[in-house]
Order: sequence, then structure tokens, then C-alpha cells
Amino acid sequence: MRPDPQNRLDSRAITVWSLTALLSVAAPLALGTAVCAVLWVLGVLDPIVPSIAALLTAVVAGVVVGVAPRVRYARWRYEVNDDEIDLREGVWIVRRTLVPLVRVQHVDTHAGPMMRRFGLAGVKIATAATVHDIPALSVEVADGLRRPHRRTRASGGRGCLTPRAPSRAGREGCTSRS
Amino acid sequence: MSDASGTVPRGPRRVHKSFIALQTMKAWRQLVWIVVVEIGLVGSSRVPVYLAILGFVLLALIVGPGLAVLRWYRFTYELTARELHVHQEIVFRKQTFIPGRRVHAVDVSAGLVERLLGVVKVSVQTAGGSTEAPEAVIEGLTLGEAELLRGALLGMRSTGARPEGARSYSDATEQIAAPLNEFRGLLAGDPSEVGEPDFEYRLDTKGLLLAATTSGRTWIVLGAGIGFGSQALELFGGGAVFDRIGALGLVAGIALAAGLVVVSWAAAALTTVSAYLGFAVRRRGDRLEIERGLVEHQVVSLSLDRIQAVRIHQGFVRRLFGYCEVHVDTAGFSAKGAEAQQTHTVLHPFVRLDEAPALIDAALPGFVDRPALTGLPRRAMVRYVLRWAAPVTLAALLAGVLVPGGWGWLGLIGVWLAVFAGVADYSTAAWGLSRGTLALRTGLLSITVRCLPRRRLQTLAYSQDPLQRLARLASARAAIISGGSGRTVMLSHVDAAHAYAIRDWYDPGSQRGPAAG
Repeated sequence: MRPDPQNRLDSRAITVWSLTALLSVAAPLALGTAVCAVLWVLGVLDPIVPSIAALLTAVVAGVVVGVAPRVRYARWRYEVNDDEIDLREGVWIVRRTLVPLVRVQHVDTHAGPMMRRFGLAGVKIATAATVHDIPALSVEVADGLRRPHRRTRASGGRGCLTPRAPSRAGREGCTSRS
Repeated sequence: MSDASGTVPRGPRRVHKSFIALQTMKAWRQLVWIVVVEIGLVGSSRVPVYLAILGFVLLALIVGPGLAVLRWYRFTYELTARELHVHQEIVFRKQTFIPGRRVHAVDVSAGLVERLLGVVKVSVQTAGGSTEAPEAVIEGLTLGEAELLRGALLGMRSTGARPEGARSYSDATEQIAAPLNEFRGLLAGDPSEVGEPDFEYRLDTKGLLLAATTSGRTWIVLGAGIGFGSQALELFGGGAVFDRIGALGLVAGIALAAGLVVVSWAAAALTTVSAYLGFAVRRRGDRLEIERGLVEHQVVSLSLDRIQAVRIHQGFVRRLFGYCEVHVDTAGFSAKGAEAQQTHTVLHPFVRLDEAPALIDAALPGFVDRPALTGLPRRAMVRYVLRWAAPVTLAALLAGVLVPGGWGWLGLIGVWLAVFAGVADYSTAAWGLSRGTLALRTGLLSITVRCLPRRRLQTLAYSQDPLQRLARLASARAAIISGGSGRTVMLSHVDAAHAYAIRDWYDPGSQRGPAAG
């Protein structure tokens, strides 16, 4: 059995994931709780309803905002070397995937507004049959993975995914960044 | 139309004029429905019905053939030294250029009327083509022209005349099927010689009949029949029929059901015979040809490069007799057969299990080998049984509590069935590795063995949930190309050490031999 891949995602991913969870899950829950509270003040609802709502909101928000992004970050590992991409991901079900570089068809980077704000980008690696996503890397590392240059030894696994593509002048990316 | 020279003539060419007739018939077939609907609408207005019908008939007589003539006139194809050009459509002209070296497959098919006429439809596919449709479709080619075009596109060289008496038809269906296969219709022209194949297999009578009687399609036909029948009855106010069925009583009801099953079985057998009569697999160099069909006759060609995996499937009935069918998973578009087989192609519809490996080796030389299969560790059985039994148990308990009178507890019988299912599932599951092939066996009543060549695997993964980690188990997943997208083949609850071994076997970094089983 090979050792686990070594590289982690960018640690700013925790912040981005927490903020995203806050906006998409916690905020609506808090709003719902607030509505319950107002209804209780108006005397429509029993006080038990807003209290349960508040408790639920606190627990769910704590998990999705506080815990889940950290665990996800802690579990995510990747490594790119001369022959293959090695991915390990998953909180409950841990999955380890091996993608030979010769199977890689194209590599995209993607970043939503929140990711851009924090200087992060995700990398999507497509084979003829599957798509794999490394969800949050710094823009420089992500670009390094995407650019068609052979990685250097010193880059510590932050190499390029398309080693055989022709290189273009003036795009000397994908050098060591450590 | 036949050119004795044996080459496709230069310059843009139109297809045969029978195209016009075929297109007109096609247009009428569509018009009939419109007319039926329209008559309903007209019936409620003041226009006399006969006038309306007359109008529609005139319209059909003018518009249908008119459009067909125009389409025929504007449809040309041309084979240049390097490309196939197809120009088509009346107003929005569409031009397709296909470089010859990009052509992956040229399929030839013909419906009943087309067969009588001796004209065919040629579908040209390339590697990068969409999965929905072939790159170019040329309808209304005479068979002779189609053969020349196909030969030119696939770069098949004629190697002289077929040896005399090369085919001897000893078998009863072959005596029927062979002339039908070689039936060239009225306009086909001379056959084009393509030389002897490297390998040829034909399905014999016994195989065809057994395949027909054991096809697992009885239930599909029955379901479709019941669905269609009830729709039709509802449409024509058949409530009385339902009432009468309800009044039949138990014995008559069972007899009716049994009768329906027998009829569906016969129908399934007939469609299988019709689909596979004259079935033949040939290999010429690195290209497979699969020919079949009584009414709708088709010759599918497959470049061996496109084949991604081999699947040996045993339906429950066939498993009892020790027979199986062999499929291949292919990349890209493949012809939709009568049963909408989109992504896998039947390499053989009915072969003895112990003869399948020899067949695969002959049809796809060096593609896969036969690793010995290893079962799963004993501790995996619990997981398989739980997977089946847990939801059933839960449902049974709920039913027991909720259903009044205690009848719900009968659901616990289902738990036993689920346990048996789990054990069967567990004992079928197996894997095997050889130097170049990963084999996975799964199934419950029916059994499927997939042989995945290492050089065709796209990715390999294994996953573990916490319980699997405790029990030192893991699920192995291999992704292959199938049709236009991917397919993941999975084997759950393998010994974790074996999952690591499978991964190491695939690892391009570790150039080891076959991993320890």
C-alpha cells in the first residue's frame, strides 16, 4: 500500500467553506428562528417553538459552519507526480482515487466570487470517463497545475497535469513556489 | 448503378431515386397522425368532412413527394481522396466534411422495404462524434454502392474473389438465414468483395432457439403489454372488461395470468429470433463486424480500439443451463439496435460459459486474459446481509406495528428472503487480477463478470466508511469509458489489503507484476 498523498488544500478553504455555509445554511435558519420569535412575541406561537428552533439553529450552524469545513480540510490530501494524480477525500466515506496522467484529458480551474475574494481556485481534472475536483487551492498553485509545462522536481507535487502538451513562450508558470 | 471497377466514382453523387419513394412513405406515416387529429378538429366545425379529407389527401400527394424530390435533389455525397463530403437539406443547407482517417465506424442497416429494394442506410461515425447521432447518415444508397463506400472509408482492400464454397450451410437456420443475409434486393448491384475474415462466428439453430426461449425479456414484454393494453382499454371505454376480469374468480384469474405470461414468453422468443437470425461476428484485422436481424438487417462495425471492456452475463435461466451472453462496452456512439442497446454491443447472444473465453480470445485477440477469481473474506458477508436485510427489517417492523390486526408481521418473511439475497450477493462477489486484466464478478440471481483491461481503465479508486475501516474492508471502483460518458464498476467490501493490491496493480508508478491475490 502506498503512503497517503502529502499535499493539503489551501488553509483559506476553511474560511471560505465556513462563510459559504453561514450564508447558505445558517442565515436562513436564523431568519426562520427570528420569525418564530416574533410570532411568539405576538402571542401566536408557544414559546417552545422558538426555543427549539434556536437550539436547532445553533447545533446545525455549529456543525456546518464550525466543524464540517475543518474536518473536510483535514481529510483532503492530493499529490501530483510524474505519472499520476493521487487524491484522498471524504469525511465519512474516505475515498482514494488514482488518475494516471496519461488519462487526463483536460484541466480547468474554477472560482466563484467568494473563492476569488480569498485568492482561491478549484481545479477540475477530467478523464474520458470521470471528473475529479480539487476544491480549493491558491490561485497560483491551481494555475501551476493547469499550465502545460512539465513540473520541476522542487515543486513538491504542485506540478502540471498536462506534461506532454506543447509549451508556449512567455508562460513560464509551474515552477517551484515553495 | 454498379461500377465494375470496384471503386467509388469521383465527384458529387446523388443517392438512388428510391430515396424519394421511401421518404414519401415516411412523410405519409407522419401525416396520418396529423390527419387523424385534424379530422377530429374539423368534425366540430362547419367544413364538410369529405372536403377536409380531400384537402388533406391533395396536400399529402403534393407536399410529401414534393419535399422528398427536393431533398433527394439536394442531397449529394462525394468521396475525395481524403474526405467524405455530405451536402443536404433544402433551405438550411448543411455540409459535413469527414476526414477519412477520423472515421471509426461505418454501419449499414436496412428496414423491410429497403431490404426488398436493396437499398440501405449508411451511418458514418467518428471518434469525437456526439453520442446521440452518427456524424453523417446517407439513406437510400444501393447496397453495392454502400459496400464500395464502406470499403473505401474503412480502407478495406479487396483481396480478390471469395474462395469457391467457402461457406457451407449445414445448419437448418443457416439455410434460411444465409440466403436472407445475402439477399440483395432489386437494385443492390454487384456484391463488393472484401476478402475472408480473420475470424468468423455464426449462431447455429440450437443456439438461436435456446437464446430465444431463455431470453430474460418475457417480463419486459409482459409489462409493456399490460401497460399498453390497459391504456388502450381505457381509451375505448373498456371499464366493462375490467369488471368482467374482476368477476372471473380465482382459478380463471390465475389461468388468465398464466396465459398472458406464456404469450409474452412466446412474443419475447419471436422478437429474439427476429433480432438474432443470421447473427454473425467477423473480425478483419483490427475491426469487428456484427451482423444480424431478419426484418431490420444491420451490419455494425467496430474498431477494436473502441472496445473498453468485456461483460459476460448469465441471466437466471441461462445460468441454470450453463450458458451466457457476451457484451462489449464501447466508447462513443454505437448503433441503437432493436432493443436500444446504446452503449454495449452483443458479441454473442448465447454461448456456453466454458466456450466464452475462447470466443473472446478469437474475436478480440489479446484484449483480456482470465484471472482466477478470489471471493470476499467471510467478515464481508455481514455487510452484504445487512445491506439487504436492514431496510426490509425496518419496513417489516413498521408494518407490524402500524397494520391493524397483526397482519403486518407477515412482512418478517421478507426478512428471510433478504438474508438469502444478501448471502447470494456475497457469494457471487469476487475479483481477480492478472497482469493486464481486472475481473469483477457481481450478481444475485443472474451473474455478471466484467473483464477490464488495465490499459483501458480511466481511474481506479477505493473507498472506506468507518465500519469498513474497522472490519478491514474496502470498496473498489474502476471507471471505464462507456458510450459517450463513463461507467463506474464497483465491488463492495473487498478485503482492504486486496483493495490496496488492486490499486497498486493499476499504479503507473509501480511497475510490478501481478499483485498478490
